[in-house]
Amino acid sequence: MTFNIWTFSFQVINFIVLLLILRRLLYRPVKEIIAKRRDAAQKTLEDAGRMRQEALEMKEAQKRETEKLSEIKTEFMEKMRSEAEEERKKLLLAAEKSAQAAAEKERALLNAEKSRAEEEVRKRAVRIVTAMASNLLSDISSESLHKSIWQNLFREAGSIVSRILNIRKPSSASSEIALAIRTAWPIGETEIGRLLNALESFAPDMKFTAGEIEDKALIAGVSIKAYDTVFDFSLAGQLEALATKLETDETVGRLAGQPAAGS
Amino acid sequence: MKNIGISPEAFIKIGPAVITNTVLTTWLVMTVIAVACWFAKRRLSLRPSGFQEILEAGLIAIENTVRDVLPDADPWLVIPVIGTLWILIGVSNLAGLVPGLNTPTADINTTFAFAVLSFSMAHFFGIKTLGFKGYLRHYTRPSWVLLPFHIIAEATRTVALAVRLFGNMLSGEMTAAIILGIAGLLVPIPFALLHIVIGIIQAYIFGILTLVFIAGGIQKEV
Repeated sequence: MTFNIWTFSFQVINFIVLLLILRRLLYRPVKEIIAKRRDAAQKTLEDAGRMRQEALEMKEAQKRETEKLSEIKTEFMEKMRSEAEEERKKLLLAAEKSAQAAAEKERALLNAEKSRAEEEVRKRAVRIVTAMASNLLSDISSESLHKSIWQNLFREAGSIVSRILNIRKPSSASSEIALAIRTAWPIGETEIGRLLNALESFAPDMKFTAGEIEDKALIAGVSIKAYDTVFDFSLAGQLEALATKLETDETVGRLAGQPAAGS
Repeated sequence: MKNIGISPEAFIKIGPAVITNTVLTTWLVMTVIAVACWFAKRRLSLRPSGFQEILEAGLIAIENTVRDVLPDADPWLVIPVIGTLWILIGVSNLAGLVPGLNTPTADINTTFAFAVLSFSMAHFFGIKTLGFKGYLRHYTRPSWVLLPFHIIAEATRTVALAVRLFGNMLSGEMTAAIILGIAGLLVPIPFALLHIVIGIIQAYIFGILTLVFIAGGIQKEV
């Protein structure tokens, strides 16, 4: 074991050389790469922290937005509910009014129908009564009754003349008035002449003429037609007038529409 | 049979300079280390490969060790020195396993050179940290009476450092050679494996002791 100064020196130099080589090839690059990685990791951590913070802020904002939306939704729902309630009330009111109007209309229609039916019933009743009366009168009428009616006609002569003169056209130059006499029983020339004289006694300026037509439908009595006006003095006419009066008389109509007590 | 000698063999003589087989082997070891580091450097990336992970783990382990011993100092001040000591001594310790090569650390000149470097680095970092006067002052603490003992301790620990490594490596080589001569080819294998372990441990001890010496040198007076 001898000390070799050259070996000693070379080994010292070798160590220093290797130190320099490793500093350049190993320590510095590895240190740099570790530092870079640490920086990158730190940056990633910072980014992650920042992103987390941002996410938290976004979450908070989202939460606030959701709460705001919820408030708006509640408010909107409340408003919609109140509007719907109002609309419902309006619709109910309108429906009620509409129903009332429809009911009124139906009631009016019903009343009208009722009135029409009553009217129809009354008319039919009147016609039936009239027909029955007509049959009855036809059975019991006689020439004496006819003559009695004819005699009563003379008491109406003034009234007949007055009304004929009223309906006569003023421009008419002729003084002759033609009468058409329908009679249930034959009258005869003599009786007709007597009637014409009676009429002319109330209008001396006028000349009356008459033709006789026998008509059994009149039952008894006569009807006189002058111009377009008929003066009916027959039983059939009286029955018709009575029927017309019964048809138009409300009181009679109501009585006719109600069943008789105890019948 | 491998020729085991305590003194290095002169390989080349260039004028007065004698280049021994120890120096040649050391150059070879240095070349291997440098080439490996060059390849490693070329493949360094932010996404480390398996080899880079091992390299970084080794450096981080060195850094953590230095931090444990020198918690108040910048670890990268001494990491290159300690790391180079560990790498050079560790690879040199294992170089003898390669047939035809001798172990550079089985040469007292090599271990003495490393010990002197360790001794020098302790003083260098001490002076750098505390200043020349401040560093010298700690030899007189706690009393001037202890100055000779400090000086003796400096010399003996350096010698002890050199001799410990030299003795362990030389004994390992000699044991393997003797057993190979006595028992045959495969019998020394367990001893060679033990030699690997011893080589790594001795490199670690050498580096850690150097680190402790440096720490003692830069430690401020309380």
